[in-house]
Amino acid sequence: MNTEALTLTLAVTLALTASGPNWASEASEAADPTAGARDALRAALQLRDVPLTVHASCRHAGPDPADRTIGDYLSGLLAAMEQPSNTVQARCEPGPGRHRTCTVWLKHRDDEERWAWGLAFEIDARHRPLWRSVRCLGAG
Amino acid sequence: MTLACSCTNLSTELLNSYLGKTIGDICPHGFSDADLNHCAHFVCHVMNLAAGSVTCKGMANQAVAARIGVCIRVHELFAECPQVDEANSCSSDTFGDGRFVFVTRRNAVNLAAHSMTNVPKKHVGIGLGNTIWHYSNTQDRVVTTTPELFLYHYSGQTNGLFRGSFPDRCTPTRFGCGL
Repeated sequence: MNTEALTLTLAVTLALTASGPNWASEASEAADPTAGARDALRAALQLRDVPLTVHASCRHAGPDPADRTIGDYLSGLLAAMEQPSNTVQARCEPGPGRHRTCTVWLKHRDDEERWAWGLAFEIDARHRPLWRSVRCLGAG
Repeated sequence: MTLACSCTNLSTELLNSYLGKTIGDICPHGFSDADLNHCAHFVCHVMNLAAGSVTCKGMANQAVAARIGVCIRVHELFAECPQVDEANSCSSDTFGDGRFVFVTRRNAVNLAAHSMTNVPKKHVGIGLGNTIWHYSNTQDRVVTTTPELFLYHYSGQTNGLFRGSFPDRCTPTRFGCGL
């Protein structure tokens, strides 16, 4: 597994953890160790209109009562990451068949405030997310 | 060992058996990622309460088949409590014979709807008498506090202190005696 951290000007640290090379993107990941992480993040963004009713783990996971979609869910979490000590971890690993299983974690630490919420989903050989595979991760 | 594990009444002694323990000590399934907030996870292992959309067992890579998985999300635990209310004042017996104790932004809770929004700043412990046992995220271990201090667990917002009664299926067990 290759890991590369990027520091952004908004005091948000993106720790992009890419999976090891696999058949789907072997060439690109050999050249760019963040390729798996970018696949995961790109696919997560494409899931923005998927309703939170997609799975029980997502149904009440939105940080605002009006949240209805994966885009709402991710936006609310990102908005809460305004202070330092934030981490984004994204990766894709070989999954079932020709698919890859991806996870995106948004993590925050600030004294007693500690949380980590995210998504798990599969992408196909063309890096497209399979919306029925979406699960919301997190505890607390 | 059998005698020590047979007690099912919530007591100071039972709760004190968890003091200083890490979530890695408590969870039989090894669901102990230090990046996660384990407050709900801890109280639900004490009460052996499986609830919510996901459990520690379901999230773990090394789940133990013979042990139950418990609730890991604060807002889902809140929704499971048969009765919820706000503690507007504290006494020597704020939590009586035992309650889940939640702290979060006041407007994140809708008592009439019996719901809590999944806002990032929320925490839960177990209150007994006037003491709260909870999982400290900065210390990564079980500690005790008072309701007066718990109310200020998060800065920069107006917090509310909420109580939730235990679902009937809760079975409190001492450390090392989980179901």
